Amino acid sequence: MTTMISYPKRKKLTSNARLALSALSLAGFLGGWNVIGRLEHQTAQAEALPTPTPSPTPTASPTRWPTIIPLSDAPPIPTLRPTLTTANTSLPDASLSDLNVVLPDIDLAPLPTLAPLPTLAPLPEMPAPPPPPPPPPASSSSRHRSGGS
Amino acid sequence: MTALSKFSNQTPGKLMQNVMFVALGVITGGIVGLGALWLWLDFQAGPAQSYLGAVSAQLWQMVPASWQLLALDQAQLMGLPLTGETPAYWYMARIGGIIAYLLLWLSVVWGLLISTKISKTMAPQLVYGLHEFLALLALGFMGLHSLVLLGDSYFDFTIFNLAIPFTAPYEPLWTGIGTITFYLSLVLTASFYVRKQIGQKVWRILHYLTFLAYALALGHAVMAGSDSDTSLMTFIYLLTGLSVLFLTYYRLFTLKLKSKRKEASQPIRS
Repeated sequence: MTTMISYPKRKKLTSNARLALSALSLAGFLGGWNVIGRLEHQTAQAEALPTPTPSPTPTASPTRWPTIIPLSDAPPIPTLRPTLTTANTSLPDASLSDLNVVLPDIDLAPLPTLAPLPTLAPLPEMPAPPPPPPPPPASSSSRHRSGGS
Repeated sequence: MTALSKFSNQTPGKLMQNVMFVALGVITGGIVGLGALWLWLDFQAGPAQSYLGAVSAQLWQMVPASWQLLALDQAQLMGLPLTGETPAYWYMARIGGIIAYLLLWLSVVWGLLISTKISKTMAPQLVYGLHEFLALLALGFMGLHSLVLLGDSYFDFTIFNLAIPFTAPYEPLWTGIGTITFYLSLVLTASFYVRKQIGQKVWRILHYLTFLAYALALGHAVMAGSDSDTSLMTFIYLLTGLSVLFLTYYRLFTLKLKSKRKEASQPIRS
């Protein structure tokens, strides 16, 4: 007995269904591209902003610190000596001779004198000014160029 | 009867006509492809002076001003235009990969629904056609996912890195697994069209590779995907992976049940 292998005829989707699926995939691609771009932009903006440093908040310490003693129980603070007792006493003067300091001999060389400044050449004579232009002749055309009223 | 024998049985006139049509199609496709490539290279050389740039500028003038503002804002977010060191290619590669994975998952799930007879009530046209077309769409998006990486300026991908597994500059192992997934999907999708030629048995064995392709795709997505650590993508990967696992177990369970029933129905020879 021979076995017959029947191949089911491949059923294809209609072109409208294919188009709809392709359009959906493409829309998903474009939408996803936009979403990824938006997320990356937001991340970049968040990284660009300076991060605020958290301000230290006062918290109760677990250890019991000793309290400050009352002011009445505190011993008196010592005051300075009055200035009258030191008014007549003078401070000792110190001089270089008392200190036995040996100063080195400084040999100062004579400073060089400056060379004399060069004398400037005399200025050239001014050229004679051009003669003044002759006065314009009085005519009717001059009224139009004056730009009057 | 094979397609080849059908072709040889034609009259010389008809054969000549068919050959001419095929040649015309190839020439037209070649011209269109070369033209598109030239336009693209021209745009890459200098967007402002290119033909594409001039045409897009003319079209841009027709758009209302309020729409222009909105479109500019969206384009800036998406990293457009595709010039210089734009991150748009990287965004496209990421979303292309996610869409390809989801389409592959849908195709696998649909195939499992067919084999477990859950989809019995649906029209066969929708059941088989959708399974095949989803696989084709997934393959298309896989191609897009890998090809756009060539435009990315951060990782210097070459066509060699994409074609030869484990040679990529980014996550070589997991990117290589992605390349293998693409080849597997290519073979599986092509098997739909040569089912008669290779026979039902070979086709069925080949079709079991779908599970391997899906597992590799999931591994590639989780380990090489830069969005894997987000809660949304973690949820998606968990949901899709568990659904395939559940349906596979259900399929194996129904198969076992079927074989037991068959054994029970056989008459006992005394």
